[in-house]
Amino acid sequence: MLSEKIQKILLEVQKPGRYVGGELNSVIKDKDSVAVRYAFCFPDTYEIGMSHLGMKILYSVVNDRDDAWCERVFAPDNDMEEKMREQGIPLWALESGDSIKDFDLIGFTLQYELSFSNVLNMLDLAGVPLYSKDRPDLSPIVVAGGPCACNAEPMADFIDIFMLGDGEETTDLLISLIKKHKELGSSKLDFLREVAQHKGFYIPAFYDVEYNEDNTIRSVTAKETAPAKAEKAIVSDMDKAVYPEKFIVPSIEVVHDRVTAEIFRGCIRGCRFCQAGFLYRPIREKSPEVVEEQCKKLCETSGYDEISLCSLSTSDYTGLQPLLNSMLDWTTKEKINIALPSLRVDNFSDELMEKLAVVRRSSLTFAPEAGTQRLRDAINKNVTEEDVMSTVDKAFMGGWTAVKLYFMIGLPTETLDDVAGIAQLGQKVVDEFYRLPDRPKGKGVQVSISASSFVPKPFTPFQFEPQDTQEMLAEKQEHLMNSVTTKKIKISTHTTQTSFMEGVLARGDRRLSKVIELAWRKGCKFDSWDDQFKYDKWMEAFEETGIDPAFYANRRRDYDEILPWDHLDYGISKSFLINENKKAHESVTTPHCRIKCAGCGSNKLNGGKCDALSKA
Amino acid sequence: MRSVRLNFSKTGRAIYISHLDVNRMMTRAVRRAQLPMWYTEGFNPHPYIAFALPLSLGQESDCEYMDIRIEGDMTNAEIMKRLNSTLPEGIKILSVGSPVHDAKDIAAAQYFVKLVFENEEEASLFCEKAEELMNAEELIAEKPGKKGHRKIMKQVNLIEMIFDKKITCAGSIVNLQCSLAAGNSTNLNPTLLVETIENCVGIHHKQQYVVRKKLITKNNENFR
Repeated sequence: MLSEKIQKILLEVQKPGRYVGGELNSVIKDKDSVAVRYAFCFPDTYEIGMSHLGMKILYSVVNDRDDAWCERVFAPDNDMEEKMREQGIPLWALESGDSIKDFDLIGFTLQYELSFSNVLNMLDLAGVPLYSKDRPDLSPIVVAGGPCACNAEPMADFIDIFMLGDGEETTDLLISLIKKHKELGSSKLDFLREVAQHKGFYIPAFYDVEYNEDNTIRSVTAKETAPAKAEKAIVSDMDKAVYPEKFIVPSIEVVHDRVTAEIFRGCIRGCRFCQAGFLYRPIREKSPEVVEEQCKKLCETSGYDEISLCSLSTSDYTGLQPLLNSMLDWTTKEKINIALPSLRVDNFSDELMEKLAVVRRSSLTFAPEAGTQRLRDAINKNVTEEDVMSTVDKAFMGGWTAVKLYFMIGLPTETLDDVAGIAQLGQKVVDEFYRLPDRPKGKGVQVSISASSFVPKPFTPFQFEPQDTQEMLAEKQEHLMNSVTTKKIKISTHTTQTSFMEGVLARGDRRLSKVIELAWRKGCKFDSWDDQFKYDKWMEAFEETGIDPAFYANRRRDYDEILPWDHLDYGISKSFLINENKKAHESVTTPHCRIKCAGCGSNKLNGGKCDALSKA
Repeated sequence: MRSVRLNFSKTGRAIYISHLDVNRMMTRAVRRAQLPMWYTEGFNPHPYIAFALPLSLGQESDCEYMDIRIEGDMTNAEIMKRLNSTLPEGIKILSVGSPVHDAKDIAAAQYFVKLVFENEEEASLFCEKAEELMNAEELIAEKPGKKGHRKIMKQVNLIEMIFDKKITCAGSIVNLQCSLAAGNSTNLNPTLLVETIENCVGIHHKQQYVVRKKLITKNNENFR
């Protein structure tokens, strides 16, 4: 299936297994018997993309249909890209080995802002014009979804259709629509006109944006068939949502190589910094029986010996105890390990810990996020120091000697005292270990502190906040390092340059499209890889386009400013976000959604239903 | 508990899967096939799986061998049927039996190498020179080796590791059939042999196909 030309270069690059397909459970169809061909593109390497759950779900959604074939495409690594350009080989899809240029739909998932330049690079490698306006025909249509679609404006000029919210149903609908319009022989415009009328689609070309003298937005006006606000789509019943019975089992090692079971969507916590916590609302739980059945099936068809129970806050799942009890019966027997990412320190029980250590002991990571109670209150991370201490107690008594703690620096209202508080909390954890008479013997304690830099994101209460400048972040990082007095605490931080770029793109508007294009032309790609990120090239691109990046990253927005994403409706009302922002500045917390509904507004998307209330 | 030796082939897209990844793949395959595997005891239990001789990335083979240990009395035919129904494209179990030889007994491997050159002239020149070079007393190549903990380049005489060879030429294609030293102590990869000859002659192939056909023990038996 792979052309001779491709085969010839495969042995000249690192890890050729990334480019050949043929993995167990990958889907091969007869291209002449399908009406729609879909290239699902992940704008990063195979190892990262193959870890992504959304791709597995949407791969099933499309391939469950007889009339469509979804194939996978990843960003080739630099050595491969060089060979491809040298030999004139366009980007191909793994299943068929065919060039994706002739596919009907080319879909990108935008998981992080720093993958935007890779989208352009992949389009270029495929031989597809970058700009939507330069692609007049009905195929290929370039679509994009994922969390960054919530402020897709920086990519607006390149993408024909953004898919907002859950993609299970909208992807299926999109396939039907393009099939219909291909049969009708419609123009691209006719097709887009129909798509715009459906919930969950946003066509950026159907909105005119005007700007004020001070560069803020004056107005966003819908035209053609587009609604004034494009609303995100949601799957209302998780038990009925499409979930794959088979995962593709990569033949080479990838980052997350295991069964992933999604147990609920949304989050009850409302941490003010967390975009995912708001974007995926309202809460929709999958029932434990369905989760277990899906896990069983997936283990059988994949042969994996690890299951990850995935969500934004796994210990908040109401069915966790019964699920674990029931699953451990067969997972222990079959030597399958259950991993629970995203645990909270305030409801991590002894029982839970015992269950975690049954087959293999995984690492323990907790996220207090901020070093002092005042700041934890301001960001609404409803966790106390006692919670942290009692959790590490349990961990140490359970035999763990290494814990990882996640923090952020650069949070709104943060002072240097808050930063020093991170080191102090780390020290208290170390002291706690040595205070325990029953601590694990013969081993020292290791506390790893990861302090990433906060980036304000759309659809969060902090969407109005200025991001700390790089100078401020650097000062805080140094202050943190200086506040640590023991070798038992290890600190890692992020480069401030990447956080700055992430901040610019996260809250950018569509004027940034030309900056992204220019930066890509200057060689920017794989921006999320520290060793490949070219800050200077990005800054040149800003300079040459006359755009000030600090306007997007470091500026406080008024509550009544029109934000670039205000015409997208994710269910969360702006007044709720404003109210939460005000409370943050007063260090006042908001109880989680099971204690009291905070009135974010997202339940209107699900006919007023939210599992935080119905399963409280 | 009994030991079972599986003979499998690696062809097509599967040739791009490295030895380490084949190991991982097989660990999952035996789980999917629900073979009654014997698990190692200890902190991190895993099924016992061992391979006779690693194969280089990009080479085909009909003679890959994997040993597993199973509990109970599942038949060899059933093991083969179950595994073959769940292996990815390009990996196929050819036979299942009890181990006869020890992996340590492997002394040589037989390869077919097909080289495609730019034109007939290059192919016949290569053929002629290769014949000469492989019949000489010495053919020196550099191989990465170790001296203590240091990594160094070692000079090795390839002639001592070539047991048998036959080279023919047809148009722009050269076929080389050879038995080369294989196993833990000395091992010659056919790509190193080709590369060394090509460097001496000063011409290089456009494309290369390598197939491992057989493993041979020090008593000159077929490894089973």
